[in-house]
Amino acid sequence: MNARKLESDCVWVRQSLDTFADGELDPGHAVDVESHLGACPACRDVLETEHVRRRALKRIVRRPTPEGLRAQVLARIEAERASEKLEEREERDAREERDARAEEDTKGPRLVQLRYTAALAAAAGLALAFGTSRQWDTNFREVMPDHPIDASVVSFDNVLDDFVAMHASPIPPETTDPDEVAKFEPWVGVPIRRTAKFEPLGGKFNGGRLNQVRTHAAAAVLQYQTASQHRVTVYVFNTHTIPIRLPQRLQERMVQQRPVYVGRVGGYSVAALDREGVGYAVASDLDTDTSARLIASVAH
Amino acid sequence: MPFFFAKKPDAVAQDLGLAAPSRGKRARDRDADRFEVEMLGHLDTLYAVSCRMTRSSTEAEDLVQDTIVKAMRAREQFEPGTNLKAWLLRILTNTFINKYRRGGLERDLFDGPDAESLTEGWISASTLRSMRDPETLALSSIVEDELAKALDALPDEFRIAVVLSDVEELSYKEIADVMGCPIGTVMSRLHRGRKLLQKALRDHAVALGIVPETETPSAPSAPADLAEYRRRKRGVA
Repeated sequence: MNARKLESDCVWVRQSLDTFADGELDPGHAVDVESHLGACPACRDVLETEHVRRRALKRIVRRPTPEGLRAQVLARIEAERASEKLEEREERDAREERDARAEEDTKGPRLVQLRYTAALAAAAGLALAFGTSRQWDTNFREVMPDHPIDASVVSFDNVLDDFVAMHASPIPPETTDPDEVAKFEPWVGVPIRRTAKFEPLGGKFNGGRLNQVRTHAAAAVLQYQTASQHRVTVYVFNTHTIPIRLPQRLQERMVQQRPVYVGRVGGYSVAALDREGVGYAVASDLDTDTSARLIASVAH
Repeated sequence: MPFFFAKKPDAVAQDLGLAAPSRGKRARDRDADRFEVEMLGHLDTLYAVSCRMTRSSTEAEDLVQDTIVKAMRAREQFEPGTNLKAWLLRILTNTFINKYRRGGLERDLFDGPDAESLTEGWISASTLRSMRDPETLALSSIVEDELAKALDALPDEFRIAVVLSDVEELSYKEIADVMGCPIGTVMSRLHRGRKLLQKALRDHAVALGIVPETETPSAPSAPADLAEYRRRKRGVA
């Protein structure tokens, strides 16, 4: 191979080098490039530069996920699964009801000997009662954690951080119909429907969703907009699974003879209270007094 | 009551919780679990790429969360056995474009063949070597900082292509799918992006006084012509 030829090959080889390093050069040309590299230290030098640059880029770009983000992602996955299970269950219920109705229509009254009727009716009644409670229980357990509920682990301060984060960057609601939030009740374990009708400062309900809290429990997240265009987020939860205990950053005050916790978390105004086992928390950019009044009227 | 009499025995059995859920559903749940586990295995990649796309760690976190939720909802569309990382990166990139770049990625400034060779702004490996840390043989952290700055200064479409190729090692075809553009465009974006990075390194070397401003690469500067090359090669053979 003469020097002139080698040098003229360099032009083409250098243009193909990055494609070669990517492993995307077609095999015929890759062989040509390899044989040139074997003879040409200058081109080998260029290729080495390319490799050093790539290794440096990998070090620059790669980084581990922050633990906080990982926890949030896990919660989102759980919430997503929970709402899918909810849909699945509704579909199944609707289908069964449809099937049952269809059979009823086609077969008409069944001829069952009178003496069996009573026994069958009793069995069926039992089946219904047992079946329903069992189904609820199964669904609940599917969504709820496998870990035993250990209330001492759920620090309300951490829960507050999650709540405020959900208010600061709201997730789109699963439903905008105040009546539909009743579907969250089996997961949260407390009544929610009434809270969706709440009109904070003459505002309106924007929508709600189910949210997993620290993998232990679920809370309903209800979003509102006040008449003066302030966003207000209300959380409804079961204080048996998420107890409101000594929130360090909140202060206790009495509103309508009831203890209410108020304070500021992450720049937002927060209030919380426990009313007969139902926990309510509210986050907004309103002032503390207004939050205290809001929380009292939510749980009125 | 006729409602219950009309019920098939197995339906009643199911109500009683006697019948196990169908195999299909169980298999589906198992697939869903596996999908989630695999997806979480790519979380670091999604976060890292996200940080480089948005150039902000808070926005990167939002982008990752949006991506995960979308992936969960679209997971039925994922074909098992194909590259999950590329599939997730496609969702990530589309979400980024829709959220931050409503008009889509900008079209390349100049389309068409690129006559400049890779040696434009090129620095030799020996220069690069002198910029390395003698202990670790990696580029010194100061030089890496320069490279990071240069990466963030690249236009989005170049930066995304370079990260997907040089860091995540996707194939051209996969990058084309992720970015929704032809393979030729991927190659052009990679080429231009990498050249800008090399130029930044060279400028830094000049600033450090490691290479004189006038140093020219040792490659010949004759215009490249693939057809000409092949003709000559045939002639020689």
